[in-house]
Amino acid sequence: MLFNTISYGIFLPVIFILYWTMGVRFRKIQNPFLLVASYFFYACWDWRFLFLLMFSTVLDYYTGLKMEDATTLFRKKFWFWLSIIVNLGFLGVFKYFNFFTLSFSRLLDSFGFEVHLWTLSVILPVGISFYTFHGLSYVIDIYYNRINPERNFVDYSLFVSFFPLLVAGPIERATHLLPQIKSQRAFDFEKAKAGLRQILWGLFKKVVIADQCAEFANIAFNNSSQHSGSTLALGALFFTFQIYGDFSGYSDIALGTAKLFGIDLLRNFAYPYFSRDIAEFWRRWHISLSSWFRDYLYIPLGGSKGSTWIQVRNVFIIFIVSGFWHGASFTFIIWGFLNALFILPSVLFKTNRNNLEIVAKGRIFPTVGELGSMIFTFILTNLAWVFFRSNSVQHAFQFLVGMANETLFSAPVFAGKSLTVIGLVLAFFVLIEWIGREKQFALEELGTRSPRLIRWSFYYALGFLIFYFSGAEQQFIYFQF
Amino acid sequence: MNKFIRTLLLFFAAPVLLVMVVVGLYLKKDVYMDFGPYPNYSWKYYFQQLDDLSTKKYLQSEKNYNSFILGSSRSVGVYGCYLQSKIPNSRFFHYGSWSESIGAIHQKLWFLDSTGVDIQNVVLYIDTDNTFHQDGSSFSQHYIFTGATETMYRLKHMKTYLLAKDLDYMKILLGMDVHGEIFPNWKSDKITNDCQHQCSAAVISKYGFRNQTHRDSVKIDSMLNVGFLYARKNVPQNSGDQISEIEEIKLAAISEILKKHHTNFYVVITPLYDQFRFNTRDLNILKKYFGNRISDFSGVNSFTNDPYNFPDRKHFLPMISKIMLDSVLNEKDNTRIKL
Repeated sequence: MLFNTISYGIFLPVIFILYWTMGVRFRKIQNPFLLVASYFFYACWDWRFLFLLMFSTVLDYYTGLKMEDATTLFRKKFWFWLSIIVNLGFLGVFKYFNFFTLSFSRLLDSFGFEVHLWTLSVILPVGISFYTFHGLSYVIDIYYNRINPERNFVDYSLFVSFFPLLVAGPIERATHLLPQIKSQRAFDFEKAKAGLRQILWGLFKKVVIADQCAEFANIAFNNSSQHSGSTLALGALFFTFQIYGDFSGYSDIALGTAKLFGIDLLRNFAYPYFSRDIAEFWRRWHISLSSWFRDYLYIPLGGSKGSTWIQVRNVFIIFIVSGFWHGASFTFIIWGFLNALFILPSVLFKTNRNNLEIVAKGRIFPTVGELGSMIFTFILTNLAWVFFRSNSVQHAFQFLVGMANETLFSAPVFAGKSLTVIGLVLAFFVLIEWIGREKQFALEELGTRSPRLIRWSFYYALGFLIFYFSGAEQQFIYFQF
Repeated sequence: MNKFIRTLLLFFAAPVLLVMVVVGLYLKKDVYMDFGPYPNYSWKYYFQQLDDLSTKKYLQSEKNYNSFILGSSRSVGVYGCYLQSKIPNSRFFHYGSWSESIGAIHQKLWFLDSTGVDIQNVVLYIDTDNTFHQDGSSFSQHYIFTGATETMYRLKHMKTYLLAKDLDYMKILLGMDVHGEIFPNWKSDKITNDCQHQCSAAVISKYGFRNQTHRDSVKIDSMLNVGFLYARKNVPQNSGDQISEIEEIKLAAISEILKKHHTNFYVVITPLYDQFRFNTRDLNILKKYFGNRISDFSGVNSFTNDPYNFPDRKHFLPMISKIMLDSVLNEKDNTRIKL
């Protein structure tokens, strides 16, 4: 069940009304009810993988309890490593087994040994990378005595499986989400309204921005050798907007949905394309994953402490692992490597924390310097996204070479597509994001003080655009991760 | 919570009201003619499926037909009323469709057979480019073929129409004039369902003639000049193998139905602009099931050589159908086949 489908449009109101009309007496079953709804939501995709999700949940729940009850360090370590190995084992089998097998096979082939290794014909369970990381953070936090294990199984299961975040995050932390799950929730009118606004904006990003840009990006990336440099450059630009609209749109719908149930999820995006350097970009892009890697990989490795060599090593490790998390392909690894390269100067010159606040805070326009920095950072991310989108490393290089020639200055051609319409839509989108950049999401406060007629007319207009541009639905990109 | 629900209801009141008005207009206009009966079912709007309209018309009729014309849009040139004058005691129904596949032809014959119709005569048009290129699958939309419920069938039509996001669609609902491709506005015959004309002595008398105006000729000249009506090689070329195993099963089933009814049938392979000839392997398969009732007009011949016979490249003039049918009817015994 995708967030941008009619079935979700029916599922959400039904669950919402049942959830809040249970009455005060039944508040105790709020969590079991949400858990059942979440499992139903997941089972709509493929009920067989529900057992994998349940197994992972039971394992981490039980491991948490056993670690706390362990009387010796050895036992604690045993349960800790059991959970880590099994969790990463599942992820390895479903996501990375074929990649390693084929890579090993090709390596042997290059030395003249022809081998036919066995590969798996399985689909990747939706959300496995996300719920595995949920579980891992929980187990690691207990191991390091940062939190106590959750003894209520239903509450813990809901922490792992809460349907808005189940399939593509945000990757939650027990310290943030579990206390909210454990507390009884009362209906909050303002929060619910904000939730609906965030869902509306998320749908706009997905249906109007991402799905429309996808059509242009697909033209450029499919048969890229036949396109001019300008078409390829615009194609890369469209993919840059596509992936942002797609994933941040998904996150907005997830966060908005959670708000309807009285729960605040971790923010995942904070206007990353308004960043002035790559370090800022990574503080604003997929925040829940970046902070996960920071807390559970980068800092344990030494972070920015230690010698220059250690710092450089840590930067490359975290970005290459981050790339590998996205998918078992060298394109993702190179994407991670490029980002490490881009961020390296700011780490070495200690400028990586120069831009902590949003650009032009309290002002309407950025300075020329800020604008230049934003454009430069945007171009760098654009370049890296080419690897993320390409089918292979060779394809990515062909794409970049195809872009960098005299045809870069010719008129771009997207057969049967109007650049004017998509251009206007993107301009409107960037404008609204710019206006709302100091808020959690662009529509958080936009127009909330305007008369109802104006405010609602704006929402109707967004709704109309969503309806008008619907019909070219593409699956959320991050579902595959 | 109550305040929230009230606000939501108020917010959605305007769009819901708008949707209700649009749905009301849709039901009133009934563009797919789902809520008949109507006196006739002509192909008025481009988005209507002729196959669907023909089925509706047949179901609304007294069902006293004993003869049927089956095939793709190329069969539009077959005049049921003319055939009635040639084949004694025949009462033709033109079961028109677009891009008809062998699967859909079988489906229609099976339906007629299963409802107890005495199938005395059948004219079956087969195309080298359409009939066997769809794995025998049928694209009939009517619920009696798809197995959908009547309600779901109507809902599907409504959803397709209202989500089309085409200004002309809204204009139609509002009763405004629409022009061009979306509004062919054909007038079918009330009895035979002949697609583009209403039967009369005058129409039949013009059937064998080119009937092209100067404007038509200019249009074809222009299509020749721009290469839309491209130059053919004028050498015999076979179409590739087309009839799949599934399609052969459908052919066998059609043959069984025709045998069961001792049907007097004519299988006509149509002449097309590309001049591809129906290939020998497939022709032999057809012969296996239809014997000598096949007339092959595909390939390079006097019909296909003249570009003026193809006013839009895809279809040939009704006159060509008349000449072919005359030749077929003269050659063959027009009585029911004895086993």
